[in-house]
Amino acid sequence: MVLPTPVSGTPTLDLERHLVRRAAAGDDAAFEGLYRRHVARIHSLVRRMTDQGTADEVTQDVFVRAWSKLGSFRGESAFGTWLYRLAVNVVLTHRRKQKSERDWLAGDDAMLATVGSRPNSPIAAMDLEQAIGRLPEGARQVFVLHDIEGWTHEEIADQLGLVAGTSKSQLSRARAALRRMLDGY
Amino acid sequence: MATDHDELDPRLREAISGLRDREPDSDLWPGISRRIAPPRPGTIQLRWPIAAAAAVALVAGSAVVTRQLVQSGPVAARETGTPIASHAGSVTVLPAGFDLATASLSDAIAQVEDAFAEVAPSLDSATRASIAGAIRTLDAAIADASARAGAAPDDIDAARYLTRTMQRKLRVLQSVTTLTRAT
Repeated sequence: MVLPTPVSGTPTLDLERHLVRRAAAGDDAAFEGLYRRHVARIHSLVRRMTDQGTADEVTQDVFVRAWSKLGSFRGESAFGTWLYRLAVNVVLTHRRKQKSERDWLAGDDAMLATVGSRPNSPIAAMDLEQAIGRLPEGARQVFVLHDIEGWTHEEIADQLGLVAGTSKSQLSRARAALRRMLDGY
Repeated sequence: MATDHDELDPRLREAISGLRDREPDSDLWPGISRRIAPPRPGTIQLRWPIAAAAAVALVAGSAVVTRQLVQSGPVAARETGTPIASHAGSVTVLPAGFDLATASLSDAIAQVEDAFAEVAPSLDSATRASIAGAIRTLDAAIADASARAGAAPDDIDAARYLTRTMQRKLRVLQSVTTLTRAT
């Protein structure tokens, strides 16, 4: 892709604003620049909230949606923040298409296999990623949003259309399941 | 019922702090690019050496066409135009329908045209002629898009069509220049 000639000392955010303006005007090369800058963050979020099998497809959906909605981005927040919120919305919309809330909350924790760390020893990030991927979907999404992304239960409940108590119970379930998986040996 | 005050295992907390974002295993951009590109009837598909043909255009005079569009087009003095600084530092008035992104594309095209001009002599005459023809087609498309954008300054689709047409020319020029250098 072709980016504008970098100007020495130009802040990163200035370049990002420039790319956003050009992308909003229909410049897909500029939009590719935005994709390159944010894909790792968005794909990691999506992968943790969904699963490896659908993460690529949902990530593509996020960027296609972002392209179509760029005109509504007013720059009141950073583009990355706007994109991140959009990604959460796309993930949850994807979930609603796939299953009912009952299905979303369901999942047999007893079936969760162990992942591999030993009790009282440090947990490798890779093991944690693997363990998150094995959580039931509802517990996984609440865990990711609360413990990794720092959302409150009220924010999660509002976004997911739940009551805060359900978010709390799913978080507790996720943490317990993760402890069992990670201490399985 | 569980509460928000459930203790987060310190080992789990430490592992969470060690999580790092990582790229997908494969590049997702080609799929995204296909999905965001509107279907355009008559899209020009160029392959090497015909694709290579795209770059000689500057030799054939496409540089003049492109620069004229930006620097001294027939509608350059329109009051609806956007003033920008030109290469020489003087102020140029862009035709209606142009914006800074378009001006930036024009600059990029001019630069790649210069680069191609350096390598074009190494091509045989048939290839150069083929490239020149392709570039003339692209220039005609740009001129048409420019006229449409100029006639309807508020038409986003017209502006996008202009931008995309210029991007097409830029990519062709880049491809041909790269391929020529590699051969």
